[in-house]
Amino acid sequence: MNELHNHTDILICKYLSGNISSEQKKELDSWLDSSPENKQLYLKSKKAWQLSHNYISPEKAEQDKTNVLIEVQQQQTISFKRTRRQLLIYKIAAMLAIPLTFALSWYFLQNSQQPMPEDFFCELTAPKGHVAKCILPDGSEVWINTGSTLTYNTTSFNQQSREVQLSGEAYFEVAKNIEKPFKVVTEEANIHVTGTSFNVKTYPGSGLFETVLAEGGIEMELNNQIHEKVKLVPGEKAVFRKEKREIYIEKVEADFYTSWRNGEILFKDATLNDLVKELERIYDIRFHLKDPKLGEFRFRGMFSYNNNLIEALEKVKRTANIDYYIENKEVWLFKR
Amino acid sequence: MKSLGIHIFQEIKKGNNEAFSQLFDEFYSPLCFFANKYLSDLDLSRSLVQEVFVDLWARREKLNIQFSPRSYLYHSVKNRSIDYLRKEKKTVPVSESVETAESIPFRDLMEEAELNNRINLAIQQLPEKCREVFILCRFEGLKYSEIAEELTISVKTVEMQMGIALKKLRDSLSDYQIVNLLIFIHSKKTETPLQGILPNFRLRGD
Repeated sequence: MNELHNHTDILICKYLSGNISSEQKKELDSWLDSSPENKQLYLKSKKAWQLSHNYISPEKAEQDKTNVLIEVQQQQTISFKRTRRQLLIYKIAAMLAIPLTFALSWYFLQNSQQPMPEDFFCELTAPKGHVAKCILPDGSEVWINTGSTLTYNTTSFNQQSREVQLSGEAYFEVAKNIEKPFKVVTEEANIHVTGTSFNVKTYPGSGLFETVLAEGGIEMELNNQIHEKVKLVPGEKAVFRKEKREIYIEKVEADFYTSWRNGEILFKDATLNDLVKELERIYDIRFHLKDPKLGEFRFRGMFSYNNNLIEALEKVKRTANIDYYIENKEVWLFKR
Repeated sequence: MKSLGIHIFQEIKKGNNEAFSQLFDEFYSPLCFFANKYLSDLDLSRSLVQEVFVDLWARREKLNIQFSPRSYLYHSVKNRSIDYLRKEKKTVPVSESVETAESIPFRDLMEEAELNNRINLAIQQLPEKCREVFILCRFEGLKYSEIAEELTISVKTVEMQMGIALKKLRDSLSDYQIVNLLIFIHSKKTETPLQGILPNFRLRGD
């Protein structure tokens, strides 16, 4: 009996794991049909098999526990520091507020007496660690990523055309207006649109221009002598590298490039190098890798701008076994 | 394992690390399986449950808990999972999984998660060789022949070990009355050729 039981267990297991031959399958089927108890036993086995799909090893559970305990400790120290720092900031703000009000009103009074200059520029910059959202005079919405700057001429904008200059990264939701084309001017390339949603990324000095189209259609034009043009369809990403002088177009999931405007960055199969670049920008702090090979390590996950630096580093540590320490306001990453 | 009572929260409120660690040991894995019912991503579920524990500790002084730790923790995980899914709705089409998870009574999900934890413990307690074979098959997705090659054992041995593993896992479910109902819930989702026999199946008696 025991022997028989064992034999059916072997058959059931082979069936559930996809290792069964057709003869054995027939054998199993006739065993199943021979009695309701057999069916019962099979269903129970199947249930056990299905439940075993999710497994947390004791090592994993232990590691997770350590994470929680570390985070708990760090949170205590961080929350302490934060409140103190905030208090100081409030004090400074309060001290500055009064003279600043006087200074500003004096400045504006002075200005209003002068004749308006021909061209007046509006410059919008998102401070470090923040994403700025603004609505342009034509109703278009722009999200400016941390440390990036958008400039437009308040006099001419929305007259015949709508032109903005960008240094860094921004996401545009352009209000539709066929008569007044919208143009994003950057160092390497320009974008022409009439009404659409897209992301542009071109940090100064990087020699890299990247645009991802979420909706509608855009035309990208290089700023070189030949003014090469390409048209994109939604879900496409165009990348131009100055040193390679070529435009690469690939199909992407637009969400991964536009999630930053909600204060989140999604990574899918990104290298540690990519990640470090983002973190340097968000937290305005320098990163070093103990071993350059570490930069090739691949990640997927989500980081939030609301996380503080330690939270972000802990996340890296948790997902990738990469530990960190901070020295002279610089972060070092190393393999555990 | 006997379930921890309300007094454990009083200890945690006082800042007793030991009590916190005990609570974690008892509830961490089943809560992960529970969160996974909503999120269908075990790694994500793990981080979410970790956050619940971190939060519990951070807010421990404000805790005024009249529920049992079990009920409190499962509800926290449920709320957080649903919040997460709502927030993520834009980027991932998860609305379906919220609905499926929400359509099943909370208590059933909770019991299913605990059942899942039983299986988890049973896997952990398999004899070493047996566990090794099982893990290669179930989580690495290797075929029997590949496992045999990898471990330099015969295919017959792999078959035997898998059979033993299955029996042990199944036995760990045995004293659960509810298993019948749960088989029914679960198999609605995963169709197999053997599906036809289900209607004969008896549901949990009232």
